Amino acid sequence: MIMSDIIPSQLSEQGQIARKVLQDILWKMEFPASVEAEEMPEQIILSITSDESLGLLIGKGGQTLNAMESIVRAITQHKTKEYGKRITVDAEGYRQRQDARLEEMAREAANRVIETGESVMMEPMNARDRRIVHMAATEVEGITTVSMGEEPYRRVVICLPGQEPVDR
Amino acid sequence: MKALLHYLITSLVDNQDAIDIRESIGQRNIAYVVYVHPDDLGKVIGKNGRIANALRILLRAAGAIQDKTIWVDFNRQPSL
Repeated sequence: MIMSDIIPSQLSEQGQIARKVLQDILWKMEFPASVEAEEMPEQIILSITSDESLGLLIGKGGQTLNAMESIVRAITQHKTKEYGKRITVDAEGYRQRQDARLEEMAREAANRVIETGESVMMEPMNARDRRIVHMAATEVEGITTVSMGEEPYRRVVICLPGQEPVDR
Repeated sequence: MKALLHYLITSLVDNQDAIDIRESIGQRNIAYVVYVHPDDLGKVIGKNGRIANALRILLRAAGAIQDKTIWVDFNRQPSL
């Protein structure tokens, strides 16, 4: 499905509110950009497009994008009074590229675990990125994953079943 | 900048009448203290300070567009 095929009226109430909130934020930041929304059964993807470079909105390691996502989520939840679908904010396909890289890293690590029999500990990541690692790594047969440690240093361990470290 | 901050805070809290935003403008920086109803402080700070940090990062990015450094602090409305 192409994003430009989606018109706002096809979005759920949550999707419309989330899109409007992000558009309002960009407007008040005086950043000339528009927001396209794509709604799927389990998530809503808001994509920022602009003639300007979006580096400033993405931030170091995507931190500004993450901040916008947290805020759009919190405001949308407050307005709809329900948890609703997962909301993702993207700019210039940044998330898509990062997610593809993460998946690749996770699969490589999982294959290494199968080959060597030794578990691999990934670097600390936020919940969103850990979820991507969990999903990609467990696609490799005979692999299991656990998260351990405290936020914001929580990390995924990729290992063989029965090798799981104790999270304490 | 204040309009952006006001919009964000208004959208997060229940007691919108209790919002008070104090602004002090320097040459290269702007500092804000946001006062909200005591019942709403948790909403603007969030679990582990998640929302407060996100607000600070977003305001910093908005400030960078205007070449300003932005500081934001959150507090409960002392009169309530």
